[in-house]
Amino acid sequence: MIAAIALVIGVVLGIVFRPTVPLWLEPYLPIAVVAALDAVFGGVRARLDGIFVAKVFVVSFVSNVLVAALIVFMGDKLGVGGQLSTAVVVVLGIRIFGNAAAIRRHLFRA
Amino acid sequence: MAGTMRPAAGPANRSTAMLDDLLANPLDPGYRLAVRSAGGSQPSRARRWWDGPLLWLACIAVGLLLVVAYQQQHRSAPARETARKDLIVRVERLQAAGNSLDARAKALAGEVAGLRNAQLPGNDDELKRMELESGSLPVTGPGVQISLDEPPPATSPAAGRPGTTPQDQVAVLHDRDIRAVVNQLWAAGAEAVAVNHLRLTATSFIRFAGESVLVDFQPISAPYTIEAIGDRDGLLVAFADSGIARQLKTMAAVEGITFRFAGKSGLRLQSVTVTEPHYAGLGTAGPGPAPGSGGRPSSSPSATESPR
Repeated sequence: MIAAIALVIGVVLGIVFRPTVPLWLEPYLPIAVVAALDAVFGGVRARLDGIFVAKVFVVSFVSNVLVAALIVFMGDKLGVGGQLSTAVVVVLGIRIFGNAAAIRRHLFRA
Repeated sequence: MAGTMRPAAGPANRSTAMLDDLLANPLDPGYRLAVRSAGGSQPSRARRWWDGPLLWLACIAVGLLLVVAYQQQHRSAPARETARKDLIVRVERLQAAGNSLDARAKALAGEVAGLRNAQLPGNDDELKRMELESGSLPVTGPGVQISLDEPPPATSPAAGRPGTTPQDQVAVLHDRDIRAVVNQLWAAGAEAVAVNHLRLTATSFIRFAGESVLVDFQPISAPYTIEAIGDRDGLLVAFADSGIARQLKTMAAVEGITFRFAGKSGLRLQSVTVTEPHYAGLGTAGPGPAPGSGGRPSSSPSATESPR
């Protein structure tokens, strides 16, 4: 519940202040969003499993975002372009799907 | 199948085990580890004072990230749109400036011609004839009109991304078709020719750039109208009998282009500002005499008849 309220506050803050993203940060944004979604789904599932730990959630969120950005950065520097970010999206996508399925099982018992 | 072959957690199976783990166990292993290290007790027991604010901060950051990413994605599109509009405005402004300069040049040329006619004694038929041939005087008269148009687009437009054109939708008519028609008309004795109302002169060219035909650096697009003034019946007969007419007829049957030609009685072709031709000299004098100022270019019409 607290988390949902904080999420809404974050959204409102973003809408009100409309922060501009510096240009060099722009390519990392989409992949950071996917990483953040992975952390959020993992946290929700852990919550439903009854094993939620705030520290793990925060650390996984921050490290996911950082590692995803690092991989995009490395892909740019190595010249493989978007292919490394494709790997990130595939792995995180699988995890998001798995966690979403677990959440669904918890909520609907199906 | 990997599960049956796995003896224990051997190091050789680590790589595939990672994939298995990813698919079977998407939850971050940190949660289970945290529970285990807490001795199986409820994790809320192990709560510290910074957990609450940290969670708040992280959730706010997630919300902020989502919104910022969304806004960023949708803000860059209008920026591209404004840049495009700005370019369009600039192109249109420059075109207008070019048109007004052209009109001024024409007015000045008319003034010059008037002054010259006032100074020249008596008969200036020869000059008039050469001005007509060079294209610096508007002409009216009988002639032929040839219409060419691209085939109608396919009934079901392929759902591609904007800006991409499927291979079968690119232009069928090329510069060489129009050039062949024009050359045929010159060869048949046309006195003045215009493509889409652009009068052709001795130095005109018809080229292809990108997907549009350029006539004297001005892009034109289908439908193409080629008008020629001259002996109407002679032009009609010579054109209908020519190879390019047969070729275009075949293209009309096979590719579906529109191809019509007919004699007209009252065609009017506008004039153009004729640029001064450059002549090869001995290197002592400047550029050669211009045709409008009394010099006699020896072969002005025949230059256009040769294939360009």
